[in-house]
Amino acid sequence: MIRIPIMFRIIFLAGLFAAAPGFGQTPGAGTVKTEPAKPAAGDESNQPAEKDAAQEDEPPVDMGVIAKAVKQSMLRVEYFVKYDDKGNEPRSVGAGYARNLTDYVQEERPLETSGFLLNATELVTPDINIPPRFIDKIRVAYGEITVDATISGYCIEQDAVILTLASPLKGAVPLSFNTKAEKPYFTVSYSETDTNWLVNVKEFGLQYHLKENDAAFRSGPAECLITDRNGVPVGVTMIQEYPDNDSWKGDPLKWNTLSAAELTDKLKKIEVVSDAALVRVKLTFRSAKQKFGNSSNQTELNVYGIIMDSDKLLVLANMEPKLTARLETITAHRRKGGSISATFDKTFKDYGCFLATLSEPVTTHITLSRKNVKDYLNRLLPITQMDIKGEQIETHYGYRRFYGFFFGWKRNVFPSIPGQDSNVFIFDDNGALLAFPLTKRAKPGENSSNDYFSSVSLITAVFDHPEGCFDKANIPRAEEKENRLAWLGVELQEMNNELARFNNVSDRTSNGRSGALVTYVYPGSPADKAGIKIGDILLRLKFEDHPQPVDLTLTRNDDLNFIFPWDRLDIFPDDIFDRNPTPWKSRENTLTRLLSDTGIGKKFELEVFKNGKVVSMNFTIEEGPLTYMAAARYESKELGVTVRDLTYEVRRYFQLDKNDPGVILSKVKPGGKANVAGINRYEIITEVNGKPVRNVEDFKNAIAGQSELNLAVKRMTRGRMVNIKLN
Amino acid sequence: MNKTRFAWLAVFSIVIFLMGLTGCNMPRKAADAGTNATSGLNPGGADFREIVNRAKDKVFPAVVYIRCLREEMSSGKLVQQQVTGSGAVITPDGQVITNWHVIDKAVKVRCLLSDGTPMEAEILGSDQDCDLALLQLKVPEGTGPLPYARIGDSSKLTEGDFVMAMGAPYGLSRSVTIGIISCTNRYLEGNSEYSLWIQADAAINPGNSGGPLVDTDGVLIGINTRGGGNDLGFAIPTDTINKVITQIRKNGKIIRAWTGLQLQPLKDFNRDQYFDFTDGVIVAAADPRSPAESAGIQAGDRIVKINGNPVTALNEENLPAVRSLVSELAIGTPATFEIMRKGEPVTLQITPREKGKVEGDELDCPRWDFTVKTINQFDNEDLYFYRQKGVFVLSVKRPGNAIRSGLSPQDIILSIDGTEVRTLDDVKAIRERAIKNIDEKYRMLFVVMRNGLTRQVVLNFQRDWEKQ
Repeated sequence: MIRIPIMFRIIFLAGLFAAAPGFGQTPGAGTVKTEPAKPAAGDESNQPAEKDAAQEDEPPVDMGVIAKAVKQSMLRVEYFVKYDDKGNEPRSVGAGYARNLTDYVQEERPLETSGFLLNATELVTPDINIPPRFIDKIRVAYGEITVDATISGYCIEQDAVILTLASPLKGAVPLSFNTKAEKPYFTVSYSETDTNWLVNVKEFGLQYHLKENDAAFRSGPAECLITDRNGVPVGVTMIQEYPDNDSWKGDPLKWNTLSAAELTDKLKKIEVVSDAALVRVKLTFRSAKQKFGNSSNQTELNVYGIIMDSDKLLVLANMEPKLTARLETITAHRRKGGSISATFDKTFKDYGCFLATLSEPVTTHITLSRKNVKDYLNRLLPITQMDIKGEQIETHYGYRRFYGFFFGWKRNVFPSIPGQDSNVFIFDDNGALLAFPLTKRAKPGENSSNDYFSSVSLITAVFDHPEGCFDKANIPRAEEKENRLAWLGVELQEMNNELARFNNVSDRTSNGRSGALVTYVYPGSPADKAGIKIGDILLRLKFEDHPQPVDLTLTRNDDLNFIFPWDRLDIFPDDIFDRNPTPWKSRENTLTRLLSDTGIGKKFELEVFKNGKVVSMNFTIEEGPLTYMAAARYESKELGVTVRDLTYEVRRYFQLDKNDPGVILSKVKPGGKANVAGINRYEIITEVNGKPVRNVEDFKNAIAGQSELNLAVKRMTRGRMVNIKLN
Repeated sequence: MNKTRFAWLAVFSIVIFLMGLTGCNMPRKAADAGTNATSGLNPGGADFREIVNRAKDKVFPAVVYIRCLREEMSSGKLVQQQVTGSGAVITPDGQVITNWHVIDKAVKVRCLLSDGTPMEAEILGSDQDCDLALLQLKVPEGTGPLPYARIGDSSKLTEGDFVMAMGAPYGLSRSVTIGIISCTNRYLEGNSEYSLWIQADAAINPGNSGGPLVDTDGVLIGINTRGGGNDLGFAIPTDTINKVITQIRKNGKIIRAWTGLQLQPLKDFNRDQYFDFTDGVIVAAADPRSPAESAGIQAGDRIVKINGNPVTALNEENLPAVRSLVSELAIGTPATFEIMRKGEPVTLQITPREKGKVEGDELDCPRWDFTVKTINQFDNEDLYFYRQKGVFVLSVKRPGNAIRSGLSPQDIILSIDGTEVRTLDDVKAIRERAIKNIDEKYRMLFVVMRNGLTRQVVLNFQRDWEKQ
């Protein structure tokens, strides 16, 4: 008999409660004199001091007695898993069973867990929550004897299921509960350690917890049987939270349980609403304008959508403003009821989704739950799981349980669910959508978006208080506006460690990794007005309602600045220019993109290193003048050319005054009339038949109906007259 | 950045290959012209051989083999290399005519006469635009008159006339190849500023540059200058040669008037262009900051008379003559240009300036590992466009400090460590100081202009890339 010092025991017990049971914890060894743990703080309330003293004299407990008393009720449950009919990998979505189930298929052995026999043919077992399509069979073993079993009941509040045996297990003895059995209690778990299945007995103690709202609960071990000193069962628990009373005691068969049929019925209802209102949304986009180094060139996206009102569609697509700008069509494809088109409404500022309005009202939609996710801890909740696979959608119905909560963005409460699926929609007991995957949109300049499994309350909160929750900058735009950019009005050069050192900004630019040198300031631009000069260094930006300052870090593409081979222009085929940058630097760079994505009208503070000092400047984001990419254009099929207006960055490159006439060639069709006449891309037509052309409209009018064109054509320093006869 | 550059480079190399006409470098088997000759000169094969021999005997003794020591900037540093070419003695006292590109940047010119006598030569003058140079052999005292070639009149040539290309392509031994005039007035775009070319199919070998093109009378009728492989040879005609040597003898250089007019012909078959006129020349554009621009000339104007003399460029072949005429206008004196503008006659006065140098000077900057050159409006149009004076990076040594630091060819240097840079001397002075101080300081801030944008580059020249 070993006496464990009191202090040591407290630590031991605390550790026991903290750890999830059943994971190879060393079972308590030997016997100890019955001596309840020195009560933890707050545990005094129902443990009178005199009783404590009285128990000092009770005889010691023999844990072996307990273990032997219940051993015949301890069963091994074996799940044999398989790939489903479509060849999908088996996955478990139960808490704590993270191991890859495919390993069990490969190793040709079952996943094993414990079970407690409740009557001749029923047992309770932790809920591993393997979707039925992945279960080949379930077998229950008592020693060497095994019997097939099926899931007959799904416990609603406990993380457990009830299995029914095909026939009684010979030798196994059901537990017989006595809720009146007296303390002290002991926990008995059944688990595998070193390939031995062990009956583990520990002293039982509960911690007391008082919430902010004065609600109290107790916590203790999970997945165990609780007995008295003689091994008489008092209760079973599969979760760690115990009500602050005796209601946890008793036979698990009395737990709230859905029968298999009841669950199927519940899921049917979810299926009906999901079929009609959880949709695949197909988004199509205008082709991106041809441009060197264009990364965002998607023309189609298939995403999830939720029809949440007779005509409102929530589209779960985290699109950057640049992509949204090209959005053309939205079509909701329902599994039942056909497809409906929708029009864009508005983009959520903080979440990766947008609202659209359906072209015709629907009768079935998904209701957004107004319940608090925290009321559903461990509860069985029906789910729809959707997998978009191309144009097809694979849907499964089942259930999940929240196993905890955490604070996330803006101290919102986010539920934790087992499994890492990003495509699970969880419903509350009324069939209203309670939680779903939602992306927290990255603010401009932030590195990446975070995917959260979120309560729908985040969305309902936006509907309740919509002010400022939608992003006016992230909208579809007309083609001629899709490439409009905000501007500061500077051309920039990438920083490096040598430049940072020379300019004394190593400490402010992470040794030259961030920061940008101003190489040009456009006259009349916001930068010019604020007094930014060539040689100043832009360090970082602080946007309103954006707590993280954004270091200005240019990319390689931002600083393409090469000498264009004007003297060899005539030799290049036109399509070569599609694969190479323009002679002038593109105005779309990290800075203009950042400002454009943040939105016109937003305020920001810019830190500028100027004359050896850091200066803070305040700006309001302004839309810049049209750039080459966004310039008005006109295609003359007859001439085989596309011309664009001369925009400010092109004028700078060619040193043209604001009032100098001209349109620039942005495409010259090989073999076309203009091409034969020796006209090349990036040349400028300044005059048509003796009249200056100031823009593409002028050009269009000037060539209309003419039988002969005399064009004054310029490139850098050279010019010529081009005569073209038209039919 | 790199990827992009490679893309362009790939294109350029193809382009250069296609252009082909880049020097006398395509050997070819001797022309087999005699067999089917039908000229009146050639009643039989034997006579023809006689004719060739006679012509050869007249000119061969005047053919000179030229070997120069050239100092030039190449790949970011100063290099010395030997260049060889041919020439022809054209006066008994030893004036030699050759190509400008043979003696360009030569610090020493050595000539080998046909009788085996070596002589040094000095450069009397050269003309980059027409690719001609006039040398004076340093003839030792007591030497008698040298055999020389007589300069004839190339304007009398017609296509089909037999000609011989002579030279000393591989050294001492003279060579002659024979062919016919393929074209008397070949226009090569970008290489026909003031002169057309005689195109002949006599083989032009490496080292033929500067050698005489000779007719069957043994008279020099051109200077072989460019070869293009496959029976393509281009020679400078005598009227151009005569103009150039006259000026060099008089001024020691070529003086041309410059107006900044860019001209184009009335008809251009290649570009399918036909302006419906029979006289005049079209103004394509006026160079920025040029006399023509300040005189108010406009693109599309048709110049019909200059100082009362009618000018016409029906085709591009007529352009060199017109440009030549303009280049001969009196410098500083207003010239009268009669112009048709939108059907109305307009008269403008343009005061030509002296054209001056057509290429900037160069400077080597060892240890900094790059070479610089002064911006010249004719040589570096695109840089001159942004900055009319100053110095730019000509090339960078690989590997080397400049390229490591991010300096690029064509970067215009605005300042170094805060000191403004305007001339090569500025660069030279700053560099000399910097090299002297290298133990204390080996980083300097270059402010450069690239595409009109003002960039900064820190040149770190701590490392000595030349160290063995």
